[in-house]
Amino acid sequence: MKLLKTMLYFIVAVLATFLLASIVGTQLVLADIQGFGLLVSSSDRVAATMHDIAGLATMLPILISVTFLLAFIIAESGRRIMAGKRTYWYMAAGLASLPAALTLIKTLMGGTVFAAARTDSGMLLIAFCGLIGGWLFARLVNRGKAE
Amino acid sequence: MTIIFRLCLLFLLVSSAQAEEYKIETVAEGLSHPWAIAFLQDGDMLVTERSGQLRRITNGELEQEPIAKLPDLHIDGQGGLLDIILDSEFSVNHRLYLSFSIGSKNANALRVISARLDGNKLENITTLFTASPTKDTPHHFGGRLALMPDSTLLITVGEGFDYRERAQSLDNHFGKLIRINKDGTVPADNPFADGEDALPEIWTYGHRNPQGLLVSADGTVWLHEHGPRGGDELNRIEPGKNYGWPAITHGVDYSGAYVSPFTEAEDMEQPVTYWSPSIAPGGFCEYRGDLFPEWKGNLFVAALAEKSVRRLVMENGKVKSQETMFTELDQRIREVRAGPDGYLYLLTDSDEGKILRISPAN
Repeated sequence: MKLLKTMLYFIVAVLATFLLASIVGTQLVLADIQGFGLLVSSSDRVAATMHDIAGLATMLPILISVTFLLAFIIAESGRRIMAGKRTYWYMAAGLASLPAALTLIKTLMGGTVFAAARTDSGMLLIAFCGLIGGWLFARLVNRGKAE
Repeated sequence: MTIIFRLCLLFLLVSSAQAEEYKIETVAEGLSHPWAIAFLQDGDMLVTERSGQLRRITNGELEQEPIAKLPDLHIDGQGGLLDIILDSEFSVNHRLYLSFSIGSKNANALRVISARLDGNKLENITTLFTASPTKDTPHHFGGRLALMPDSTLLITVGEGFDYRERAQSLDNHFGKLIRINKDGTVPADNPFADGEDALPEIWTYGHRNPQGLLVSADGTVWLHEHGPRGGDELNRIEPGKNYGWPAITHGVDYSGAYVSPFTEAEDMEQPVTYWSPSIAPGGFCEYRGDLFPEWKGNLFVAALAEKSVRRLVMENGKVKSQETMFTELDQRIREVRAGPDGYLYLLTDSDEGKILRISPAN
């Protein structure tokens, strides 16, 4: 039961991070498009955001799941060895996980698979999405333990 | 029943005739990702291998010793030794042009040189162009070359994969078609020749990874470029024009997200045709030979992903119809060239690449 609950919290954290990262990614791409002089209406923005959530639904959740899994295992181990608040450990793990994974993929494949992360500012925003995912997971786990 | 039998017989005869339209012979094999081929007047051929060797084929035999292994070559990913073309006065000056990637993993770029082929040596090597700035990805070098009737040299440069937005800026070479003189200087009639708001060597911009470039018999410049997931394009080139990438595209990113939600915009050119899903066009030619009269004036596009060659029947600058050919080879086709002998030559893209000759069945 405990394991099932933890898995559920993990899935919620992954989905939240995926939605945030996808939405952020679309807005960054649209900002570039506007920079070329094209007009992006509100309906264009909504449609593009929905399109990208659907389009990224296969690749991005898998990427986030794998990186979060590794990052949260490391965070939990760190917390047990060095002590400290779970929330901070998981936020740090979430923050570092996606930049680490995307950098590793770029090193191996030569390109950035998630276009939003090609710039430093984009990578920072994606890292922040990971931080929120880590915070959410820790918060859900803490609440579960309190119950 | 008799009618059905006769129809079946007719179908078999037609199928048989189509199947015997051409035959495929292997000219050379064991080539490491052959990228381009040039035909010398004595019947010899020069072939570039992406792994860095320039090879010669004499009397139908691949010479074991490479002509040259070029210095400073950076071989990684899609980079290496790329295109080769001969000077229009090659019989007199023996000059040829080569494109390849240089630099390192973290700082690489496309370079174009001219050299004199002296027997089996490259002499008087001169650097004509180096793309700037450098990039840290091993993808999207472009690298195709073509000579214009006015003897200027066209060079395609890719947008480096991670640098796509820079294809819309005129202060760099990412995603550009470059036009220079054969000595590396900039022609005075280039569209941005004054150099005030743009690099003067830029001829067109807004390209992704153009790996096909040709000047047709009527002087039209054609360029094809890889799209991302879908949106491979055939473009008719006019100087100074913006071909849209990544502001407009008919493809989506490999991740599944939009590169742009727009497929058209003011002051941005539409492709003559596009391919979705991607066929991955690797090179193309115009057939001007006599051995296949029905192919005269057709464009042949090598397709890496589709493992085929697309025959484009052109009419008034548009694609009238397309035929997918040579799928029976089940090979990634990097390049297709019409030889001066009227045969069609295909380069297959693999560690054990081949040069194949297409000739009439009869």
